Amino acid sequence: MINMTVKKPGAEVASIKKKQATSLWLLSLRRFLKHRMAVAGTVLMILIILFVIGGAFFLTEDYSNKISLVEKFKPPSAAHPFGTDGVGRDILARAIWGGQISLLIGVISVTISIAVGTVVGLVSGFFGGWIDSLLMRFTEALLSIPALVLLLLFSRSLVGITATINVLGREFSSSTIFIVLIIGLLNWMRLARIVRSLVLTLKEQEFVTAATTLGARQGRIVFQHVLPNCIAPIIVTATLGIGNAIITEAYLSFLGFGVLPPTATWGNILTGAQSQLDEVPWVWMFPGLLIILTVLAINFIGDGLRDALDPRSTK
Amino acid sequence: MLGNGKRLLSMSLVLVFMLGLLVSAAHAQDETVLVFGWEQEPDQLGDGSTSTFSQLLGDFFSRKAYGWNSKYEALSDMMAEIPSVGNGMVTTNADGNTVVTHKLKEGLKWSDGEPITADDCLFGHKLFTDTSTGTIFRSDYPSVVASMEKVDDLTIVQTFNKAYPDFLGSDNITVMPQCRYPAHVLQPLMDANGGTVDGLPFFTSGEGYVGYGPYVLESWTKGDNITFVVNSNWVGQAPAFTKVVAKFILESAQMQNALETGEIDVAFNWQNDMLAGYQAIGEAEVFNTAGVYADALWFNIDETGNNHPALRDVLVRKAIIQAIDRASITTAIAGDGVPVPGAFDSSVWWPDGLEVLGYDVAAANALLDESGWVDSNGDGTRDKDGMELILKFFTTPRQSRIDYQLAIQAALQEVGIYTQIFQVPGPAVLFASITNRGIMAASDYDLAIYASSNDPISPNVDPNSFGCVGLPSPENPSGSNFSHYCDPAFDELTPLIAAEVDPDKRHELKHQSVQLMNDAQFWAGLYARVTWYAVRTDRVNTEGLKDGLGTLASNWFQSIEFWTPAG
Amino acid sequence: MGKYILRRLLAAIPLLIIIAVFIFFGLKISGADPLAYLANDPRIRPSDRILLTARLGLNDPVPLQFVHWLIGDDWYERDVTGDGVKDEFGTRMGLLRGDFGESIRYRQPVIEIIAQFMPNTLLLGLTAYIATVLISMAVGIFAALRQYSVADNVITGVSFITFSMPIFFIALLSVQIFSVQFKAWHDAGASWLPYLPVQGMYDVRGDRSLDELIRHMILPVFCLSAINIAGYSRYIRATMLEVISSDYVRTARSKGLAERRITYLHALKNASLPIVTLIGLDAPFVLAGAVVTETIFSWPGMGRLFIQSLEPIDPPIVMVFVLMIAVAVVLTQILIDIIYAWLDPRIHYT
Repeated sequence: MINMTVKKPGAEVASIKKKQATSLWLLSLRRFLKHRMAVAGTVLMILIILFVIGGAFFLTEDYSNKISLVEKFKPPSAAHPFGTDGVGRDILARAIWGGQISLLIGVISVTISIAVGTVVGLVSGFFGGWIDSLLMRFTEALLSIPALVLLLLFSRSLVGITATINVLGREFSSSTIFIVLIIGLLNWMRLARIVRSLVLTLKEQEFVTAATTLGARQGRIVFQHVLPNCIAPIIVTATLGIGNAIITEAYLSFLGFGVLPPTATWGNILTGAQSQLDEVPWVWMFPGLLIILTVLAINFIGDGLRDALDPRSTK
Repeated sequence: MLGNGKRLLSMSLVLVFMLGLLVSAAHAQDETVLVFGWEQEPDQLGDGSTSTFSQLLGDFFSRKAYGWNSKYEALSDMMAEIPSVGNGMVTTNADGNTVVTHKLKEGLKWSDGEPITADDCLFGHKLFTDTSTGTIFRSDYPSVVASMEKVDDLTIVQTFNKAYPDFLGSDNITVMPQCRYPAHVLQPLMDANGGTVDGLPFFTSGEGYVGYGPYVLESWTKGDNITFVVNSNWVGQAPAFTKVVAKFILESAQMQNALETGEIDVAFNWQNDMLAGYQAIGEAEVFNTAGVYADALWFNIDETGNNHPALRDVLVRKAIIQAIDRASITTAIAGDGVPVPGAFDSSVWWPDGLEVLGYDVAAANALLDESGWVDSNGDGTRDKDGMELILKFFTTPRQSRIDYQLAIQAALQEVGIYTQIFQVPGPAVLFASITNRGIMAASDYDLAIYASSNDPISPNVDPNSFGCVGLPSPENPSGSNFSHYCDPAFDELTPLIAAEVDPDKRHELKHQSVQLMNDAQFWAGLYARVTWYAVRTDRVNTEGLKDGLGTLASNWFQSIEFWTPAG
Repeated sequence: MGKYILRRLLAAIPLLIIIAVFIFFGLKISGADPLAYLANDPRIRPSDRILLTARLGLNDPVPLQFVHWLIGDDWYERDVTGDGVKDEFGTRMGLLRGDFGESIRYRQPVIEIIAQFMPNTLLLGLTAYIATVLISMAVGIFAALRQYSVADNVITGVSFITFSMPIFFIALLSVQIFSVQFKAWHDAGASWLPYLPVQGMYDVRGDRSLDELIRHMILPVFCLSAINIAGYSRYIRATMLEVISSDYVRTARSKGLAERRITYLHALKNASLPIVTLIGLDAPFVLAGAVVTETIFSWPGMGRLFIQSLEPIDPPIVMVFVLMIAVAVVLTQILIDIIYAWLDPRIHYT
């Protein structure tokens, strides 16, 4: 099996001394800054983060959940710059608070999938043998089923489990946690394979062989020598994964398996207007635009990072 | 890729070939087609299906022995007379059991031209009493119909095993003779299939379907449409539309788009929130009919379960109902003029002066104070003996219900009741049995919004849903008394109502029963679910159309043969 | 080679077993009751439901249910009437004996149901997939040859935007514009304006011609391709850039070969390996259909069948559906390896 997304950093990277490593990061940064779209994406992302965090200082979460039946489906106005939804909630406030959740879903689920993917890849690649076979068969098994099919199967089973979750004084629909877990736990496979093949390449190189001969403990080798070399693909996968998770949440909402009220997400605000596209365009336009802009920004950043962190990229 | 390419190529060739065939065949322009948008594909045909959308199709091609019009009067396309005590067709035998004579109309034919006879009804009787004939939803038939005898080719006599006033059955009860299946076709098929109807293509794909209705099944393209053409052997009103198609469209916004562009002629059963969209379509006439379903707020009044103890106090339940402005919420969410039902049962069974609680916040606050729930710690939520009044409030993920849930949550907050809201899938989680961790069966909820249907034809009470015997428990996993309403006085009335043959006395008993249930205040109606229709006036003549539509759970198209094209 | 293929096929067996066990027990553990849809229906008597539960073998111990699914239950007598006396043998033959099971809701053999939906999915999915690959090859190569030109930036920008949209958003919006709005303008006097159908494979009143089918396919194919072209063309662009900058192309160029020939002959030949890999990873998933697109466009395909088999859950359909795709993945992988050997003579399998 040849994995084409893997770039072999090669021996030259591994043998660079620490000082040179620092300049390598600087070099990457410089390359990133030359990537115009990546810079634009970063600026856009900062603006979006400012919007969802800064906005929260002006509009409270209670306000975002406050219903007012007399103000049902009001078009944008001074009082409600983004208009109101089917039960008269302010869409601007919901877009702000829902944006936090959408971004959190992206970040946390990616953290989970990075953690699982990295550990599985490292363990599998480093130890080899039956552990490798078992983990890789399982990884392949999960990869052999379309992602959306797996997501639907699992979210269908989990939505029934109900619990109230109170995190840092905020109340969440328990479905939020399940969606995060499901997206996180079903997206680590490709990364695991990338990390594994990196480890396999690195294992053969002199410095690891040398460290082993010198009697270094296996755990130490993994953390000191192998892991740092996997950081580039991990960062790129993570960035793109966030965008993917945000879109996935919107898909699940559309199919009726997403995050449930009162917790707002861009996905469920968007699908709240699904049956009335032409009558109430403001309900879907703003959250839709936010999703697109966010994912776009993330993809630009990811693309820039890929170019910047890939030592073989020439330009 | 090569294999795929070949497959595509051969597929294209087949298509081109089909095109050639179709172009050469002259277009039948005298055909008048009526296209329904059908939001759910039937799983199968016949009584092995529970899908409403399968039952609705039955009126096109497989009529039942009896039906009911919108005034709830019995009618029949198959029987010569409606049996009643008055015309002597309903009698009581020496054992006190009800005996009913049914007379088939003369000259009825199956869609294959064979005559319909009493033998077909006997065949249906066997299907419905012998469980080895396969998986059919038999309702009460096997438990109350003792026997059926053939008197002559067109007459049968059905004997019940007790005094049974609902001898024609009702919306929820099937006991009427089952003469809708052709014995001469099905019996040989069953014999070849190990004696059962399970998996017979006759039902699963409609292959070789023979029935009795104004239309006959022409084709069923799974996932796409089911098509019917006029049944030339039908003796009733000759349909004006020569072809009826049910086009399966699952997505509600697409249903509206399809009607707007004229890809379908009729869209029905859409939700209230689509009203503005359908009204905006110039060519469509939009109207609704009454229905038997109502969405309501249900209370869990279990004396011992995991529910909040406050709900065991009827004063608290009254307070909750009075704290909610149901009329205004319904106007805002469900639309103008949608009625708020007053009691679980159809209004035909209400006693005079049945008290329906209205909106009164002051009264709600007073009742809560009276019952001892006051906000003693000033946190905004009422409490009593150190316990906060926090209720677990469930519904299913349907937009209008979620909207109601949010509105009710806000209203209860005003009187110091805090609710945690949950949306869970109905059948799989909320209504699931206790062995499948069903939330309501496990008594793990306080309030819930869901729909139920009432029965305007029969006053019978299902003890499994409203009696002490229906309390769900590990020993009684099929119990569906999810409100845990258990009143011995009410339970005493239930069998009396079921057996009372005198209509006036029966009404009197039912009134008492309705009153008891109303007094318990564990049910608050939110909105009566009307059935919405949008019909394209350039395709269908909508004059008088509405009057012919059935208003029970699944008889909406029982007069489909009277529909006429526009112009 | 034959030996190699056989070995790969044998190695796939544990994989398929893992998947089957995973999904089967996953469905059971989640407490999914296939008969849950009968709950809360006043027309259904508990007795009917109890009988059906017993007949379907849902009361058997769960591991035994898996065994029944695998090798059948015609040897197993169970009590269906609830009187404690065993009275009926099962009728299933099991997967290993060629019985793929019967759908609980449709009471029809799963294989028959899939046979009805699969051709439609192949038609839509393969068309969209071929369109995706061809267009993204063209776009990717073009963009690579003109790296950082205005055209490259525009292509990149547009592909990123479509890539960032949820497909249902694209689908509903495009229907609103190209079907509903165009039809309204068409009827309002702009009779030259063509419009597209909202849903379905054919017009109900139509003639089921090829032309009609194509019109119905435009929007779904557009939606399916739109989100994929972005990813593919970026990938092809990157691969091409890598190949162009590599030594042998430089060598070829220095030898004086014309620019165009270098690109198409050398670069493409060498870039085809990663492209084939990508196709190998994604192509089998065409069989799964497109859940969202098929639902929106009422396309009678596998994705729609799958989503309808989830609520209420229909385990026999879900099992066969998932395994079928897994088998397709395995077979495609083997096929890809064979294509590798053909594309790159240095690779040998033993």
